[in-house]
Amino acid sequence: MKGHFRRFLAAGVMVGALTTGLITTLPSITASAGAASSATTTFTWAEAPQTPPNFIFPFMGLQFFSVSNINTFQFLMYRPLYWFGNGESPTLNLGLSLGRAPVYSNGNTTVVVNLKNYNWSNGTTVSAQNVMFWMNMLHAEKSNWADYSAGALPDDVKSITVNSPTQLTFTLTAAVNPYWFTYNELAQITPMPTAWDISTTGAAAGSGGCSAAAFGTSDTQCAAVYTYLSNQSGYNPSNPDATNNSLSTYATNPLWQTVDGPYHLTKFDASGNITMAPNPSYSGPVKPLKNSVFKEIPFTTDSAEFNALVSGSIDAGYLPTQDITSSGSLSAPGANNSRLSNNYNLKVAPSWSINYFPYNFQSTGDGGNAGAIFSQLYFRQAFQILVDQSLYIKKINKGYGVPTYGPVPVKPQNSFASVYEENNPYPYSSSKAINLLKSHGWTIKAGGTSTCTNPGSGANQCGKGIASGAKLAFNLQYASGSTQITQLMNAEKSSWAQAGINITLSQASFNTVLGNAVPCSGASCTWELANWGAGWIFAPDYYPTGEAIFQTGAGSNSGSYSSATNDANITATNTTNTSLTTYENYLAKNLPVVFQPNPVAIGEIKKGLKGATPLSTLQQLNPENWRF
Amino acid sequence: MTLDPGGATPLPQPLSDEDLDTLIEGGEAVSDGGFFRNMIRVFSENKLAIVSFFFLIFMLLFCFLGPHLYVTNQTNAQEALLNSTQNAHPSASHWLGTDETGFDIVGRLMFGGQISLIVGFFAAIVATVVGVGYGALSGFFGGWLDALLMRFVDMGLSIPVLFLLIALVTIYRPTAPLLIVVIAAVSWLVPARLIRSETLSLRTREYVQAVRVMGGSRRRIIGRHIIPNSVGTIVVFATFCVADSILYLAALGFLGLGVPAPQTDWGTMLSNGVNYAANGYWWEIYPVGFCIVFTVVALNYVGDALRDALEVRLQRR
Repeated sequence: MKGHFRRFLAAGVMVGALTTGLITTLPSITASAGAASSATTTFTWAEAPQTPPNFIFPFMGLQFFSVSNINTFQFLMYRPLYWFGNGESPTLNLGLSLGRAPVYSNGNTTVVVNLKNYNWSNGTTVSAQNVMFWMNMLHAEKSNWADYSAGALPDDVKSITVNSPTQLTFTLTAAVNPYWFTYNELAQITPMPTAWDISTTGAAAGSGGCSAAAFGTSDTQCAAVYTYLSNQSGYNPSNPDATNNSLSTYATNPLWQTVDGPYHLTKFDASGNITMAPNPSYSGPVKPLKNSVFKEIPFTTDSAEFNALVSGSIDAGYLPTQDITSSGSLSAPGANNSRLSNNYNLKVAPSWSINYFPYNFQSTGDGGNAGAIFSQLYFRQAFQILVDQSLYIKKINKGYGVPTYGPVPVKPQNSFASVYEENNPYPYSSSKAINLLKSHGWTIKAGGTSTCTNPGSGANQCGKGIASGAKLAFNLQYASGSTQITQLMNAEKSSWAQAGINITLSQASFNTVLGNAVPCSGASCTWELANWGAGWIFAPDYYPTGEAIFQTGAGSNSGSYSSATNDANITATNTTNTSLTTYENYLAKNLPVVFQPNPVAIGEIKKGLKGATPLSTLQQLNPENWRF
Repeated sequence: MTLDPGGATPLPQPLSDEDLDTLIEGGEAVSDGGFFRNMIRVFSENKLAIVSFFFLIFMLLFCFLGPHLYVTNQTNAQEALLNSTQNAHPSASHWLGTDETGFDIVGRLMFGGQISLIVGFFAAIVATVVGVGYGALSGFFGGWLDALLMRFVDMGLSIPVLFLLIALVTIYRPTAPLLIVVIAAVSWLVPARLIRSETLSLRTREYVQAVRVMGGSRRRIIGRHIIPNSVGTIVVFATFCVADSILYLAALGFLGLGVPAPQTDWGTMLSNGVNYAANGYWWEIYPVGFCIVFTVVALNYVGDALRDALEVRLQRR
């Protein structure tokens, strides 16, 4: 049997990058008059700086595909078919899943999914038809699903049969690796209530015609439903750049009140102030505390979040790197900041992620040369060689970081990472980087801007499409609000300058950077480099085979990287149980992105708060477990 | 022969500008040794202004000459990370310690001070030149043009300055030249209104009327009479404007909208330092705070003294 996959963008990694904030909880017991049983317990959790959720519909493109939208927001209300994460282990958690373990047969071409008895808050059951609704939506709108990659879901599904209200059978076009299919394909599915199957406000549930139809036979209807739901969430597919004016309606729109997760939304504003109340119909194993509310608190900077920790006003947050007063590591954390140690316990956890930022291989920036320059392996090698990850982890992250040298996470400990990747194929060396550029026709101007003086496609020339006089000058937009990211960007800028690679830095909010760094082409495709600060967390592609981010044309392949060899390597991991070594070694050498040091999560959990640890390596939030 | 009504005296002919230059005019500002002597005497009576003046000279030397005497790395963050200790306490090797990247704070104050002072002075110059010209034109011509121009100024003054600055700096990538333009863009409104008021008064003075009667051009009246006689107001405003510009830049830097790294300014330094306030790294906050506060205070004292000095000059005309 093979596996499954899934993936999902790790935007929220920013959270991690910022050092990760996870859960929180806590108690401000607001007394109400009368009996103690009517007291309300408030659990508060700190959002990463400048990462307020901005999309509620659990079907979205790359610009909304973030941890802050999915793992720490949508998942609290709308549960995925399969839940992954067992503490620090990024593995299938059937206890929290809506479905039972998938059953593979017929040479791994047939998959049977059985559902448990979960209910929606409107009294209906979470049924096989709700799974079909999501699959039909995907069939109609796969280009608007960030986790889509050619040949994967839904392309590899020949048919889906609803056998009963609690059972479906997926018939696949070819044999798959079951591990991959469960971890990376079925993991993407979030059942949607029939109440959402409408295309106009006030229409009867199911009138949209997307949920009840046979698989792949209702694309037109599903497209209309998608457009309606996206607009209700604030995204107009026909005008993607329009301002989201629906954020203020999230808590009042009846659509979003139909939930199968442990919480439903009661307050929401565009700044990220969120209040959720328990869903009394939640069917999961652990219910939220009665008479409790869960609040997510936004911050514009990590320093502001630290001040909130000092004041004790949040129950679970994160320790900004600048406030780490005792160096440590993942395996041996240092002492907590003395200003917090009385009230909080410091907890660290690795993230099932890699940190990187993309090159835009289609960029028309830098006078039309940017994309052509990024396409040259020697340039990417020089660029990567100047990234001294060990130094940055030691000096900026105070030891709380893991280097990223390839497409597979090294931590938490796993059997997928190869020796080649773990041992840094491109160790830091400014002289080597300079020589690489010199030997390919560039005249180096350290501290300035190097220029191409030997254009052409020869071995010692700049490369195809790079004009004489082309400059190594690029714009890099990165996420604001995090001191650690700012320090890292400034240090790397200085390092690249040694080889005359002139990087112009600019800051924007996390959501802005994420929205800008999307696959594009043509004259308007001008962005060059963009760092949202967190790379990619392997969720819902929990098996790190990379088809969502590195396969040609994948929805989350931000920079439009394309390599036939890599595509073939990915296909092999998806269809057979071959090891990831060939795939990861190729990309570790080929450098599809700029690999970056990956900060580990440093959580601050209020003393006395139970159920908030261990921190999730998938940056998920389970406040239903929290008790004080 | 027919006599002109009024008698046989020939009509006076308009004088050329050259002729006017030879005349002694009551209102035209003409430099003489007495003016400067009086001004310096009155200025020097203000001890705080003298101290402030020499403090400003010191800061200019500190920021622009200092880096040549006290050489530190202020641009290569990679090297600073590699070779320095981050957030190091003051020591013999780093008189005021290091910041979060490892940059020497004394060197950083010099480096950041260059940007702060350059932006402050040039923004003040631009704002003053634009504001004076605009206000003089408006006040001199009066009428519908004055009303139109002043309503525009009113609109500008009604917009919160910090809001406007943040908006402009957010839209455009902040650089030193841009910051000069942006700060000047919000600072010229006040001198425009001040000079317009001054002009409304001056244009009715006898010496201005005399120049008109003698055929002096409008350009001459504004350039040789109106503006020179407003010099007191202009100089005092310009001095305060430098201080305000430094504060605006500090505010923008504090909000993270200052010049991009590796450049820095005092506001950005203060903002970075505040991140570490909870950790007791006072050397990342107080020295730069001192530079901002004392420079601004010094400029204000100098401005006050200049106002007194120039007022004395007017009184003794």
